Amino acid sequence: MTSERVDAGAPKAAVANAILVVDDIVKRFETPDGVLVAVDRISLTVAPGEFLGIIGPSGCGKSTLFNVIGGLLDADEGTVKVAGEQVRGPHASIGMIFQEESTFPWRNVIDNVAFPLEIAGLPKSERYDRARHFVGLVGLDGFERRYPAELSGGMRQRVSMARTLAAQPKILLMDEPFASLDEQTRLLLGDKVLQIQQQLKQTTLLITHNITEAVQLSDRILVMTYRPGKVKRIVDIKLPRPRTSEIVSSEAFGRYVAQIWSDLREEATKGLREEESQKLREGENR
Amino acid sequence: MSVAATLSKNRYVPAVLGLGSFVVFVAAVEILIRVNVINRYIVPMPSDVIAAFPRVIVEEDVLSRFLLTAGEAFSASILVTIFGVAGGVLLYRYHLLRLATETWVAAVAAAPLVLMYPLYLVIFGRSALTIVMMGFTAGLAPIILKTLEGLASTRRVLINVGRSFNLTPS
Repeated sequence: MTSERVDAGAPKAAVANAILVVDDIVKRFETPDGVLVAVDRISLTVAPGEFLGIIGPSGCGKSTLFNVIGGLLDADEGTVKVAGEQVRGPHASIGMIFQEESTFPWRNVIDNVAFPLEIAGLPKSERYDRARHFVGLVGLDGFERRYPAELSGGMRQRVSMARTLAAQPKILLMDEPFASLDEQTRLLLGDKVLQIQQQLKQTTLLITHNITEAVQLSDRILVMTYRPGKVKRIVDIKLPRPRTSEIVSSEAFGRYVAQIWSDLREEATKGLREEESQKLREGENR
Repeated sequence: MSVAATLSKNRYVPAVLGLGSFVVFVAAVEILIRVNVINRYIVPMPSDVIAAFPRVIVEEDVLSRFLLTAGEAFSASILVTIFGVAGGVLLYRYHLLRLATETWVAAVAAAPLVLMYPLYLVIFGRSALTIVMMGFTAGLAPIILKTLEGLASTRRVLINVGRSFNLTPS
């Protein structure tokens, strides 16, 4: 088991064949209590076909980083480049899967999945053929005419995944996509994600606060500090591929989980203390 | 399978049952008028009503009147859509404007605008334009409010999904 120590002021990203280069990103927010630095000089690179997990305690700026990489938020400093092209706003090369349930309730499964193809102006027959392929890829054959309200939470997240994959992005960004699901469904969907990722050789970034999920899926895990969000450590996960959820019971898996938790525990404690003192301040001001 | 179960599976049964009930009702009214249970000077006989259709269509020029009314309604709805939806989007985009004007718009929506109709006759004269403007003013405030309500209640994540596929926010 190997791991790479990263200085708090992460090094400038520069890898020749990287498909994604995040370089020195800073994002600040104005709050009633002053300026909040959500993301502080984060740099990372992702190689084609790689699965990178980003883990950190609640409030460490993971979702802010997700939005900056996806182009939904502008960074105050630094750049994001996909295949050498700088990202300024949402980019066709980046597909995003959100934490919240995001299927369109007025469209059935096949129409949800065909949505990005409809925007791209593909002829009807071609977009439905392609949508059917991705519905099958996420294991929802036979549910094409069902509406999201008729599906379980896990199935709805798979619809969102199929919809994003249908646009054939170079990079798949996932922000805690299984956060609202139970542990068993989460592990099984993890298997599905691994299977799809290996089949498509899809470059993937997974933002999560679940250590098991991160170790199960990732090639590398970037551990973030609590506020301001910085790179604390990058851990290489040298577990064999192809993987399934059965790997969670292996000894090596347990060692990775323990190692990441030891890094994360300090940050999560800081977050908890900060939250408690904020609640106290709010109580005093009331 | 019972007859009732077979009928309930046939998709034409509800329509046939509804139409049949209507025909039976009309026939019953006709009979009650003919036997003087219902006064024919208060309720006309259905057969007389049906017989009068060709005369009304030809002599009263119903088609052109219908087209005129449809044109007036269409013009009013186009105006209401342009100004109402634009107004709703403006109030959604600019929070200060919303705070300043939303209650006024709601007050206009609740006001009995019908009382202003004589004023419209004075301003626009006895013409189709008066009717168009009546429809426009009656519909404007509710459309602004409903557009605002629709945009405000759209979940943020759905807007982000659209943006991630390169659609504009609104």
